[in-house]
Amino acid sequence: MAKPKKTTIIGVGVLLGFLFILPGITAHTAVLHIMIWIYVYSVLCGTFRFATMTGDWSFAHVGVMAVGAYTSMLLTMKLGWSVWPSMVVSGLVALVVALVVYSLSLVTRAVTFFWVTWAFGEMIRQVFARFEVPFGGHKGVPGIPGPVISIPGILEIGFETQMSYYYVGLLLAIAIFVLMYLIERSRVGLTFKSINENWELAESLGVNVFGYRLLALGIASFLVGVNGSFYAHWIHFLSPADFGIAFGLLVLLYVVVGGSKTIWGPVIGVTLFILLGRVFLSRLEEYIMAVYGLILMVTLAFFREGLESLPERIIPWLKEGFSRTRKEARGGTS
Amino acid sequence: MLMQVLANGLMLSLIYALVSIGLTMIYGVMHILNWAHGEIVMLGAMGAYFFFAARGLPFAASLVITVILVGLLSVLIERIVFKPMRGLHLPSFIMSMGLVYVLQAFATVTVGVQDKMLPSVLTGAVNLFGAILPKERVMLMPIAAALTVGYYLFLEKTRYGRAIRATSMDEVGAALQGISVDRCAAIAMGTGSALAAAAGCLLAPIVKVNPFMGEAIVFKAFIIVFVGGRMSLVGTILAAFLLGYTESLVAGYWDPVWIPMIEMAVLAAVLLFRPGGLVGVEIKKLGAERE
Repeated sequence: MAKPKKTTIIGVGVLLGFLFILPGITAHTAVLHIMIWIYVYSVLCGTFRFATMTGDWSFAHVGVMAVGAYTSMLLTMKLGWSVWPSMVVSGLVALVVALVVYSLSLVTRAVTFFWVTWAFGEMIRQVFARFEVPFGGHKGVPGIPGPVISIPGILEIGFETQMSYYYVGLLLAIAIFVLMYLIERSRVGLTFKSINENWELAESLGVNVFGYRLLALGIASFLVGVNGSFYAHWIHFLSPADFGIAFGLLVLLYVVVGGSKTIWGPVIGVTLFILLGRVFLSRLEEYIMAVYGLILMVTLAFFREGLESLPERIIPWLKEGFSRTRKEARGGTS
Repeated sequence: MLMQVLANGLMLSLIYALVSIGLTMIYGVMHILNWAHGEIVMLGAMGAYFFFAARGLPFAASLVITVILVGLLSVLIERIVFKPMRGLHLPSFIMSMGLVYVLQAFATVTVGVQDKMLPSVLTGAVNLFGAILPKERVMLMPIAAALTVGYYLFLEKTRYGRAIRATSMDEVGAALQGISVDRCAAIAMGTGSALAAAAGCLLAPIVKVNPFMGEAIVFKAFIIVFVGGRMSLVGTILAAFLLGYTESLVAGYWDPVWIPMIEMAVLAAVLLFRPGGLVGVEIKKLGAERE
């Protein structure tokens, strides 16, 4: 796979530098809060898009994130674990649940797969809503503890401000995106894409299609489980209603509008919609959804590849336009 | 108790059938998964509220006006929104999601988010073999049944019905026989949505009318369509009765909170073991789905 362009590397460097010093520019809680939302949703949509590389649009992804969040809640609140190990363990539990669900549903493909995982995701959510004893039922669980970094006698960082969560969220998002990027660039990532292009051809060339589809979904599920754990400890409250169908549809909205061809698409979609929703339209509550819907419909009608495909579509068009006007100015007839 | 459960189940099943038939027709002819079908039901209920409760027209007249208006609107939607999406399953589903947001916002802005209660159309209750039912619910049953049977006859007996069935079996073949696929799509979308709007009108006096009422309904309708087999009208009606009676039995003898869980399990089981649905379409055809 081609090495990334120099301009891309510089752009990413500048963006990350800006994100690291952002709390120094403005330590306003609301700003940091929105930025953490963007990190959490970016990881959720980014991992979702990671699994779509093989062509499997799993609607159970939000349910798997709920598994991670609830596991972490149980480990810290019922068993008194520290937050950091429970983050890893909740990723593993999410992985196990996902493997069970997906190894059942991977016999289907495309739309049928989408609806089978829809059913499984909703079943997961119903389990959290129905059983009050460990999971707190449909009322939700308040008072989930935040993390603490402590080395006895030397260092003690409590997570009282959004600032600490901001950096944990940022580092987590960077780690997860770097990992996904590396996998996507490797041979495994190419195999994922070949399954999406033509799974019958891939199978005839000796690719274990079932195994690779499960691998993509498994990696995505582990990462989103860890993300769910971070979400639970940051927001301090879990309720099955937060992981419902409406939320799953929002994830689809972000990924489709942002684009699912490259790793940037979901991030663009999430950033656009969260900023639109929270900053620009906070006074026009009832119109927000209409604006969302119109953006979605326009995107699908005119550039189905998503917003990420805009630069590569506009730049050649502009170049062509400029060269044409120049020719016309010179009196050419083409 | 048993009679009550059976009567409730019948009512639910008829409403579900009325809503899901339209979804099946839209999927059958255009291969579009229309998530905005619930919003069509919502618009039907809003129409009943607008003409019957706010303008004081008779209920029957407001039903007819609403059904015609919503049918025309849906033909317009088909032309503008869905035509480029034909045959693309997931993109069409996501497109209809955008439509859901727009229609909900439209209803929110024009009518408001508060629950609307309609004045009762008929008062009193009847005793039907030991089941006590309000007259409004009894009134709903023959209308819904008549519409369902009428639609079935329309598909089986008339020229346009045959054209629609031919298109849903084989689009290219139908086009080669001189059938206008566009016209069939418009008729399927218009009539299907008109049925959903009628269901919305009939539901309006019994349920709370608000801009978000469509979500729960379209969710059930999708389960029914996938369980029934996506393309088959008979399968859809069967699945509607299966779901309606499951719900009323679970609610009557166990606990209604378990209904979503059971429905999801049924949907997953049907899709895993009989991906073509109960009244199957060719699996070969479904296997060809790329998106």
